Amino acid sequence: MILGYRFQKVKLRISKAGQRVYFNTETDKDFTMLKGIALSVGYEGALYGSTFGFRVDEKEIFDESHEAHLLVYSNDISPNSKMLLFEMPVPVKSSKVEGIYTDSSLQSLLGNASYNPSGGVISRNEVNIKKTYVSGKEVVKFSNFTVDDNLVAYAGSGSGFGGGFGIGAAPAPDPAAQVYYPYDVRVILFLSK
Amino acid sequence: MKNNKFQRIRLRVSAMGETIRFNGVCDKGYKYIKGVYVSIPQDKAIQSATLGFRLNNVELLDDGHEVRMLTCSNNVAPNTKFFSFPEKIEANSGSIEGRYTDGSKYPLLVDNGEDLGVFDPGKVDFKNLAGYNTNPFGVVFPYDVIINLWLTNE
Repeated sequence: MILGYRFQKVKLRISKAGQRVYFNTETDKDFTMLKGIALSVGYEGALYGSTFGFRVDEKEIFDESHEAHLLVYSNDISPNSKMLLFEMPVPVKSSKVEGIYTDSSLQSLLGNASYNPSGGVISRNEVNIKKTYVSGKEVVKFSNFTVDDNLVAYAGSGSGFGGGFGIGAAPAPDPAAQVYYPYDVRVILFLSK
Repeated sequence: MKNNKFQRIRLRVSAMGETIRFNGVCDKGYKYIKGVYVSIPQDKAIQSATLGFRLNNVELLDDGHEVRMLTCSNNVAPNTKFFSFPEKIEANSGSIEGRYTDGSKYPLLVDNGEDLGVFDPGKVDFKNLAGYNTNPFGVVFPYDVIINLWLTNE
Protein backbone atom coordinates (compact mmCIF):
# COMPACT_ATOMS: atom_id res chain seq x y z
CA MET A 1 0.00 0.00 0.00
CA ILE A 2 1.22 3.47 -0.73
CA LEU A 3 -0.10 6.76 0.45
CA GLY A 4 -1.61 9.43 -1.72
CA TYR A 5 1.45 11.66 -1.63
CA ARG A 6 5.15 11.43 -2.19
CA PHE A 7 8.14 13.70 -1.97
CA GLN A 8 10.27 12.81 -4.94
CA LYS A 9 13.82 14.11 -4.81
CA VAL A 10 16.51 14.90 -7.31
CA LYS A 11 20.03 15.54 -6.13
CA LEU A 12 22.49 17.75 -7.91
CA ARG A 13 26.10 18.36 -7.10
CA ILE A 14 27.63 21.71 -7.96
CA SER A 15 31.36 21.28 -8.24
CA LYS A 16 32.65 24.59 -9.46
CA ALA A 17 31.75 28.22 -9.82
CA GLY A 18 29.30 29.07 -12.52
CA GLN A 19 28.46 25.47 -13.24
CA ARG A 20 25.23 24.64 -14.99
CA VAL A 21 23.77 21.30 -14.08
CA TYR A 22 21.07 19.80 -16.22
CA PHE A 23 18.96 16.90 -15.09
CA ASN A 24 16.02 14.96 -16.34
CA THR A 25 13.96 12.27 -14.77
CA GLU A 26 10.45 10.89 -14.70
CA THR A 27 7.81 11.48 -12.10
CA ASP A 28 6.71 8.48 -10.10
CA LYS A 29 4.17 6.55 -12.15
CA ASP A 30 1.77 6.14 -9.23
CA PHE A 31 1.10 9.84 -8.89
CA THR A 32 -0.87 12.11 -11.16
CA MET A 33 -0.37 15.61 -9.81
CA LEU A 34 2.65 17.73 -9.17
CA LYS A 35 1.49 20.05 -6.43
CA GLY A 36 4.61 21.82 -5.30
CA ILE A 37 8.34 22.19 -5.42
CA ALA A 38 11.14 23.32 -3.13
CA LEU A 39 14.88 23.59 -3.32
CA SER A 40 17.22 22.68 -0.55
CA VAL A 41 20.65 24.22 -0.85
CA GLY A 42 23.65 23.54 1.35
CA TYR A 43 24.04 27.12 2.48
CA GLU A 44 22.63 30.48 1.70
CA GLY A 45 25.77 31.99 0.24
CA ALA A 46 25.29 29.87 -2.84
CA LEU A 47 21.83 31.14 -3.51
CA TYR A 48 21.89 34.72 -4.53
CA GLY A 49 21.83 35.01 -8.27
CA SER A 50 21.67 31.27 -8.81
CA THR A 51 18.89 30.26 -11.12
CA PHE A 52 16.69 27.25 -11.63
CA GLY A 53 14.73 26.42 -14.74
CA PHE A 54 12.15 23.67 -14.71
CA ARG A 55 10.00 21.94 -17.29
CA VAL A 56 7.44 19.17 -17.16
CA ASP A 57 6.63 17.33 -20.38
CA GLU A 58 8.34 20.09 -22.37
CA LYS A 59 6.12 22.67 -20.71
CA GLU A 60 7.99 25.45 -18.99
CA ILE A 61 7.16 25.88 -15.34
CA PHE A 62 10.08 28.19 -14.51
CA ASP A 63 12.25 29.81 -17.10
CA GLU A 64 15.99 29.44 -16.84
CA SER A 65 16.46 32.74 -15.12
CA HIS A 66 14.09 31.99 -12.28
CA GLU A 67 15.98 32.77 -9.11
CA ALA A 68 16.75 29.80 -6.92
CA HIS A 69 16.25 31.71 -3.72
CA LEU A 70 12.58 32.10 -4.57
CA LEU A 71 12.20 28.36 -4.03
CA VAL A 72 14.00 27.87 -0.74
CA TYR A 73 12.99 28.21 2.86
CA SER A 74 14.57 28.87 6.21
CA ASN A 75 14.01 27.36 9.57
CA ASP A 76 11.77 30.28 10.49
CA ILE A 77 9.00 28.94 8.30
CA SER A 78 6.29 26.55 9.32
CA PRO A 79 7.02 23.04 7.97
CA ASN A 80 3.87 23.01 5.87
CA SER A 81 4.78 26.28 4.22
CA LYS A 82 8.22 25.27 3.06
CA MET A 83 7.21 24.45 -0.48
CA LEU A 84 6.04 26.54 -3.35
CA LEU A 85 2.57 25.14 -4.00
CA PHE A 86 1.32 25.68 -7.52
CA GLU A 87 -2.01 27.44 -7.82
CA MET A 88 -2.97 24.83 -10.37
CA PRO A 89 -1.35 21.44 -9.76
CA VAL A 90 0.51 20.22 -12.81
CA PRO A 91 -0.92 16.98 -14.20
CA VAL A 92 1.75 14.30 -14.52
CA LYS A 93 1.92 10.64 -15.32
CA SER A 94 5.42 9.27 -15.58
CA SER A 95 6.11 12.67 -17.02
CA LYS A 96 9.47 13.85 -18.19
CA VAL A 97 10.87 16.38 -15.77
CA GLU A 98 13.81 18.53 -16.76
CA GLY A 99 15.65 21.17 -14.90
CA ILE A 100 18.74 23.26 -15.08
CA TYR A 101 20.46 24.79 -12.08
CA THR A 102 22.99 27.54 -12.69
CA ASP A 103 25.42 28.55 -10.00
CA SER A 104 25.71 32.30 -9.73
CA SER A 105 29.18 32.82 -8.54
CA LEU A 106 30.60 33.94 -11.84
CA GLN A 107 28.84 37.17 -11.08
CA SER A 108 31.41 38.94 -9.00
CA LEU A 109 29.03 41.69 -7.98
CA LEU A 110 27.17 39.16 -5.91
CA GLY A 111 30.05 39.08 -3.52
CA ASN A 112 31.53 35.74 -4.28
CA ALA A 113 35.21 35.37 -3.58
CA SER A 114 35.67 31.91 -4.93
CA TYR A 115 35.82 32.75 -8.60
CA ASN A 116 36.89 36.32 -9.05
CA PRO A 117 40.67 36.62 -9.33
CA SER A 118 40.61 39.62 -7.05
CA GLY A 119 38.87 37.57 -4.43
CA GLY A 120 35.48 38.94 -5.32
CA VAL A 121 36.30 42.31 -3.83
CA ILE A 122 35.51 45.14 -6.17
CA SER A 123 38.26 47.69 -6.18
CA ARG A 124 37.10 51.17 -5.23
CA ASN A 125 38.69 52.48 -8.35
CA GLU A 126 36.56 50.21 -10.46
CA VAL A 127 33.33 51.46 -8.98
CA ASN A 128 31.86 54.51 -10.54
CA ILE A 129 29.61 55.79 -7.83
CA LYS A 130 27.93 58.14 -10.24
CA LYS A 131 26.57 55.15 -12.04
CA THR A 132 25.52 53.30 -8.95
CA TYR A 133 21.84 53.42 -8.32
CA VAL A 134 19.72 53.08 -5.25
CA SER A 135 16.07 52.34 -5.85
CA GLY A 136 16.41 53.58 -9.37
CA LYS A 137 17.73 57.00 -8.40
CA GLU A 138 21.25 58.13 -8.77
CA VAL A 139 23.06 58.14 -5.48
CA VAL A 140 24.69 61.45 -6.21
CA LYS A 141 21.32 63.17 -6.06
CA PHE A 142 20.90 62.33 -2.41
CA SER A 143 22.18 65.11 -0.23
CA ASN A 144 20.22 64.16 2.82
CA PHE A 145 19.21 60.65 3.64
CA THR A 146 18.63 58.37 6.51
CA VAL A 147 21.36 55.89 7.17
CA ASP A 148 20.19 52.46 8.00
CA ASP A 149 22.19 49.77 9.77
CA ASN A 150 23.55 48.29 6.60
CA LEU A 151 24.92 51.55 5.39
CA VAL A 152 26.47 52.31 8.74
CA ALA A 153 28.36 49.08 8.44
CA TYR A 154 30.15 50.48 5.42
CA ALA A 155 30.89 53.88 6.90
CA GLY A 156 34.50 54.78 6.54
CA SER A 157 35.05 52.63 3.52
CA GLY A 158 34.12 55.49 1.27
CA SER A 159 36.17 57.24 -1.31
CA GLY A 160 35.56 60.82 -0.50
CA PHE A 161 31.81 60.75 -0.61
CA GLY A 162 29.69 61.61 2.37
CA GLY A 163 32.48 62.02 4.85
CA GLY A 164 32.46 58.64 6.46
CA PHE A 165 28.79 58.20 7.06
CA GLY A 166 27.41 57.66 3.64
CA ILE A 167 27.67 55.16 0.91
CA GLY A 168 31.10 56.16 -0.25
CA ALA A 169 31.94 53.00 -2.13
CA ALA A 170 30.38 49.78 -3.11
CA PRO A 171 30.02 47.64 -0.03
CA ALA A 172 32.66 45.03 0.50
CA PRO A 173 31.27 41.59 -0.16
CA ASP A 174 29.85 39.90 2.87
CA PRO A 175 32.24 37.09 3.84
CA ALA A 176 29.24 34.91 4.56
CA ALA A 177 28.36 35.07 0.88
CA GLN A 178 31.44 33.18 -0.19
CA VAL A 179 30.69 29.93 -1.90
CA TYR A 180 32.69 26.80 -1.38
CA TYR A 181 32.58 23.77 -3.59
CA PRO A 182 31.26 21.21 -3.91
CA TYR A 183 27.79 21.74 -2.57
CA ASP A 184 24.60 19.88 -3.17
CA VAL A 185 21.19 21.03 -4.21
CA ARG A 186 18.13 18.95 -3.65
CA VAL A 187 15.03 19.45 -5.72
CA ILE A 188 11.96 18.23 -3.86
CA LEU A 189 8.80 17.56 -5.83
CA PHE A 190 5.52 17.18 -4.02
CA LEU A 191 3.45 14.59 -5.88
CA SER A 192 -0.05 13.45 -5.09
CA LYS A 193 -2.66 11.20 -6.56
CA MET B 1 -10.50 10.89 27.12
CA LYS B 2 -8.46 13.48 25.35
CA ASN B 3 -8.64 13.77 21.60
CA ASN B 4 -5.05 14.74 21.05
CA LYS B 5 -1.77 13.42 22.24
CA PHE B 6 1.81 14.28 21.55
CA GLN B 7 3.83 11.11 21.65
CA ARG B 8 7.57 11.50 21.83
CA ILE B 9 10.48 9.39 20.73
CA ARG B 10 13.84 10.44 22.08
CA LEU B 11 17.06 9.53 20.31
CA ARG B 12 20.64 10.19 21.33
CA VAL B 13 23.07 10.92 18.53
CA SER B 14 26.59 10.21 19.66
CA ALA B 15 28.75 10.61 16.62
CA MET B 16 28.96 12.31 13.27
CA GLY B 17 27.07 10.53 10.55
CA GLU B 18 25.41 8.15 12.94
CA THR B 19 22.27 6.38 11.80
CA ILE B 20 19.78 5.42 14.47
CA ARG B 21 16.99 3.01 13.83
CA PHE B 22 14.05 3.05 16.17
CA ASN B 23 10.71 1.37 16.46
CA GLY B 24 7.71 1.61 18.70
CA VAL B 25 3.96 1.55 18.82
CA CYS B 26 1.55 4.43 18.53
CA ASP B 27 -0.29 5.06 21.75
CA LYS B 28 -3.58 3.22 21.75
CA GLY B 29 -6.80 5.17 21.83
CA TYR B 30 -5.91 7.47 18.95
CA LYS B 31 -7.15 6.86 15.45
CA TYR B 32 -4.94 9.07 13.36
CA ILE B 33 -1.46 10.45 13.15
CA LYS B 34 -1.79 14.05 12.13
CA GLY B 35 1.70 15.42 12.09
CA VAL B 36 5.31 15.21 13.11
CA TYR B 37 7.82 17.67 14.48
CA VAL B 38 11.51 17.05 15.04
CA SER B 39 13.17 18.87 17.88
CA ILE B 40 16.93 19.32 17.59
CA PRO B 41 18.91 21.36 20.11
CA GLN B 42 21.53 22.63 17.66
CA ASP B 43 20.64 24.44 14.48
CA LYS B 44 23.81 23.25 12.85
CA ALA B 45 22.74 19.66 13.25
CA ILE B 46 19.58 20.21 11.22
CA GLN B 47 21.45 20.67 7.99
CA SER B 48 21.60 17.45 6.02
CA ALA B 49 20.03 15.32 8.73
CA THR B 50 17.38 12.96 7.42
CA LEU B 51 14.46 11.08 8.86
CA GLY B 52 12.71 8.12 7.33
CA PHE B 53 9.44 7.06 8.90
CA ARG B 54 7.09 4.13 8.42
CA LEU B 55 3.83 3.27 10.07
CA ASN B 56 2.47 -0.24 9.76
CA ASN B 57 5.03 -0.85 7.04
CA VAL B 58 3.72 2.06 5.00
CA GLU B 59 6.29 4.65 4.15
CA LEU B 60 5.23 8.08 5.33
CA LEU B 61 8.62 9.69 4.74
CA ASP B 62 11.39 8.09 2.76
CA ASP B 63 14.80 7.63 4.31
CA GLY B 64 16.22 10.63 2.52
CA HIS B 65 13.61 13.06 3.78
CA GLU B 66 15.31 16.10 5.18
CA VAL B 67 14.74 16.97 8.80
CA ARG B 68 14.76 20.64 7.87
CA MET B 69 11.35 20.06 6.30
CA LEU B 70 10.06 18.75 9.61
CA THR B 71 11.27 21.35 12.02
CA CYS B 72 11.24 25.09 12.50
CA SER B 73 12.56 27.76 14.79
CA ASN B 74 10.99 29.55 17.72
CA ASN B 75 9.96 32.31 15.36
CA VAL B 76 7.12 30.11 14.17
CA ALA B 77 3.77 30.18 15.94
CA PRO B 78 3.09 27.14 18.13
CA ASN B 79 0.04 26.16 16.14
CA THR B 80 1.98 25.81 12.92
CA LYS B 81 5.13 24.13 14.12
CA PHE B 82 4.16 20.62 13.18
CA PHE B 83 4.45 19.19 9.72
CA SER B 84 0.93 18.02 8.96
CA PHE B 85 0.69 15.02 6.69
CA PRO B 86 -1.17 15.80 3.49
CA GLU B 87 -3.78 13.14 4.23
CA LYS B 88 -5.36 11.38 7.16
CA ILE B 89 -3.27 8.45 8.21
CA GLU B 90 -4.65 5.80 10.47
CA ALA B 91 -2.57 5.09 13.53
CA ASN B 92 -4.64 2.71 15.67
CA SER B 93 -1.75 1.43 17.78
CA GLY B 94 0.24 0.88 14.62
CA SER B 95 3.88 -0.06 14.64
CA ILE B 96 6.39 2.70 14.04
CA GLU B 97 9.76 2.29 12.42
CA GLY B 98 12.16 5.07 11.72
CA ARG B 99 15.68 5.90 10.75
CA TYR B 100 17.39 9.12 11.75
CA THR B 101 20.71 9.96 10.14
CA ASP B 102 22.97 12.71 11.36
CA GLY B 103 24.16 14.85 8.47
CA SER B 104 27.12 16.59 9.95
CA LYS B 105 29.66 14.29 8.45
CA TYR B 106 28.88 15.87 5.11
CA PRO B 107 28.63 19.52 5.97
CA LEU B 108 29.02 20.75 2.46
CA LEU B 109 26.68 18.26 0.97
CA VAL B 110 22.98 17.93 1.31
CA ASP B 111 23.55 14.26 1.06
CA ASN B 112 23.92 11.52 3.54
CA GLY B 113 25.50 9.08 1.23
CA GLU B 114 22.57 6.79 0.89
CA ASP B 115 22.81 6.67 -2.87
CA LEU B 116 24.50 8.65 -5.65
CA GLY B 117 27.16 11.02 -4.52
CA VAL B 118 28.39 8.86 -1.69
CA PHE B 119 31.33 10.36 0.10
CA ASP B 120 33.23 7.87 2.13
CA PRO B 121 33.58 9.52 5.54
CA GLY B 122 37.22 8.60 5.64
CA LYS B 123 37.84 10.37 2.38
CA VAL B 124 36.36 13.73 3.23
CA ASP B 125 39.37 15.90 3.84
CA PHE B 126 38.30 19.29 5.05
CA LYS B 127 41.75 20.70 4.49
CA ASN B 128 41.30 20.11 0.80
CA LEU B 129 37.92 21.76 0.59
CA ALA B 130 38.40 25.38 -0.22
CA GLY B 131 38.13 27.61 2.78
CA TYR B 132 37.65 24.99 5.41
CA ASN B 133 40.19 23.63 7.83
CA THR B 134 37.77 21.90 10.11
CA ASN B 135 34.18 20.85 10.06
CA PRO B 136 32.53 24.24 9.65
CA PHE B 137 29.28 23.14 11.11
CA GLY B 138 30.79 22.37 14.47
CA VAL B 139 28.05 20.13 15.78
CA VAL B 140 28.66 19.04 19.36
CA PHE B 141 28.07 15.42 20.24
CA PRO B 142 26.17 13.84 21.79
CA TYR B 143 22.91 15.60 21.19
CA ASP B 144 19.35 14.46 21.61
CA VAL B 145 16.61 14.47 19.03
CA ILE B 146 12.98 14.32 20.01
CA ILE B 147 10.50 13.18 17.41
CA ASN B 148 7.06 14.45 18.34
CA LEU B 149 4.11 12.64 16.84
CA TRP B 150 0.75 14.30 16.92
CA LEU B 151 -1.95 11.67 17.45
CA THR B 152 -5.59 12.55 17.30
CA ASN B 153 -9.10 11.19 17.10
CA GLU B 154 -10.40 14.03 14.97
